[in-house]
Amino acid sequence: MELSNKEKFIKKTLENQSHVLDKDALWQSVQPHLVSNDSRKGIFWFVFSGVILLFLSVSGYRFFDLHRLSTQEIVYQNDIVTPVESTSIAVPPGKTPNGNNITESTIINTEIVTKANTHEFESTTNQSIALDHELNTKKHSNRNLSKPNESINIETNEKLLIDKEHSRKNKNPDLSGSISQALFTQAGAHAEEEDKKYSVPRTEALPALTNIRISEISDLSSLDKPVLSEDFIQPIQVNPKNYFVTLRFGMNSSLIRNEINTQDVFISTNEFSHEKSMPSFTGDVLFGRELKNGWNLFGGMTYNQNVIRYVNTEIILESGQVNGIQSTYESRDGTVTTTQGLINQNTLTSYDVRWFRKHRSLMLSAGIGKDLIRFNRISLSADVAINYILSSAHQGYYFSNSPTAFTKFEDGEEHIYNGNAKLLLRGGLGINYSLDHLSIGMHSFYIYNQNSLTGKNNFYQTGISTIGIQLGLTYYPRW
Amino acid sequence: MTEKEIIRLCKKRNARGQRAFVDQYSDLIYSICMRYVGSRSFADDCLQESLIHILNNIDKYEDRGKFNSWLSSVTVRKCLDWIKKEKRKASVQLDHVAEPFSDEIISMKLEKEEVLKFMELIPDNYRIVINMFLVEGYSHKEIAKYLGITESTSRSLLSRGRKIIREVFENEKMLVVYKNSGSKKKIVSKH
Repeated sequence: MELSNKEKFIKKTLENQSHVLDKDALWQSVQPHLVSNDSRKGIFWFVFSGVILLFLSVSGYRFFDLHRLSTQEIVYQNDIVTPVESTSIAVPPGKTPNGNNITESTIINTEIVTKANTHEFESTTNQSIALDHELNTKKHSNRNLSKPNESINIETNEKLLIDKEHSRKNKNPDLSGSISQALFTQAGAHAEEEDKKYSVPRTEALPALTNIRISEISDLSSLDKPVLSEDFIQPIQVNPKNYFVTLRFGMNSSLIRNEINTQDVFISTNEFSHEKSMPSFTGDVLFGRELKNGWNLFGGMTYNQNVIRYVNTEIILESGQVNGIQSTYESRDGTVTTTQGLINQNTLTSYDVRWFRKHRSLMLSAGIGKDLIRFNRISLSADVAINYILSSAHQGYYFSNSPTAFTKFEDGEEHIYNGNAKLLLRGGLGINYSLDHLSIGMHSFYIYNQNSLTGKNNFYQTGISTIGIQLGLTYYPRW
Repeated sequence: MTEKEIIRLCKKRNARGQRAFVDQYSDLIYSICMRYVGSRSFADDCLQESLIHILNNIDKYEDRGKFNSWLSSVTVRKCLDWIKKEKRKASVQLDHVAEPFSDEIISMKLEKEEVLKFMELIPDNYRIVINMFLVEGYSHKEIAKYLGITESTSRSLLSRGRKIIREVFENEKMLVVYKNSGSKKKIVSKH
């Protein structure tokens, strides 16, 4: 719309009006209302320290709670396992269980109670059979060996006492596993216990650092007229070609995906369900450069550690028949005759198998990131990267296609994780608070690993992906 | 002290930079306040509030565009907020299009002082739309969006305002201003 000459004059007059202001008085009236830098810093550090404290509290609680659960509560679960009431009874000579004189063979069912090595109880029968299988990860220790008809020893009137304290004292719950069985029958009792310990030093958390700041976008041309904005949300600032270094460190959780490759295997897929992730650590050191429109390129090193724990505390009842004393007959002259034959046997097996595996990887990381939203000093960013494993180390136990079901990693030993998959994909979202040369933020990430194992004709494949959250610090030296 | 230096210091909450800002930009801010709120006493208050607001939020300026433009837009917003807040008591409605009414006659000539006087005397709704359209260069869509009125109301206000300007200044007719109770003002032209 064209302005008339008069309107132009009015505009010019309004624009160029001048006033005499008392600047000193104005400054005196304004200054008390200005927010000082200190108070802003104080608010920022108060909020930031609160976030850090919350993060540490939650992660600490999570870590120790899991640790406590895995090392104590599961053990105590065994303590409260009540042995199945035995149907075995003590029979006076020449009497049936009902008190009648024995006139013919009587079959007495027996009960076999299998108990974990952390339980203490006393046989109420006058005879018991005990069978104890001990886990030895290198030799045996699979439930397949725990059949009740194997190696049964018989003793009479023997009290079975398993020293709980002994078991606990010698157990490293994190790193050990054991299967034991004890069988009680009317025929006799024998207890044999042995606890195998596996002691692997706990790996210290490796610190690592990082973060990303998102550069700024937009190549907006300067505005000739003022722009009204309801809430001062402004497009991201143009300030490309800044270099940055990012340190991030935080906790992760492993997402495990196991799959059997062939049918001819010893272990069942049910074994995989006993695996669960433990909190671990991920750290990054990244160097990057900001580009236009909020994009940035970065590269650096990533340390990632996955800890996976196997806990099996199942209690399994199995029924079968074994050879034993079917009946006892006492003649009038006091001669006792026993008849051998098949007797019913119930076996209650309480498994207490625990092991862990730890995978540590040092990776080369390269990726691209972008500022998605910027609100004042706070920005939301996203990034994707490719990680290449430079070096990896493994510790603990892993599934093996053998009756023992799992095998311990040994230094220098050829195992299925040798030559593991090298390339991983990574994506992340971050929220950052920017200061002049620093940016502080939290960054969530997901590292996708299709298969941690490669080749080797392995009987199963496992993809150990990682999800986690990190605290990050980015420094912009403005070279 | 350069503009860049002042901005940098103000972002760091440096008192010296803030003082320099007041020295350098308060005239500009005050002229905007005068244009919008129309009276010196009101403009003083509006200037103070605008300065405080700008200095406390200067880190939101991110070095794009002209600083003066950003400053103007913030000040205009502050003035409009101030008008809404302060004049609410007087029941001023921004979408109200006043009808001609006469009582008191003031002769206006096309001089600078008369222009300023004219802007002071016309009702807020006319003054705001004339300022936003003629001086700041906003479109009716932008004016309508911010003032919470329809585009047609904005056009109507501007049309009537321009008609008054024509009649008062171009045709050298009389500007009649009626001041009724309170601060409510109505403006008409008398043939």
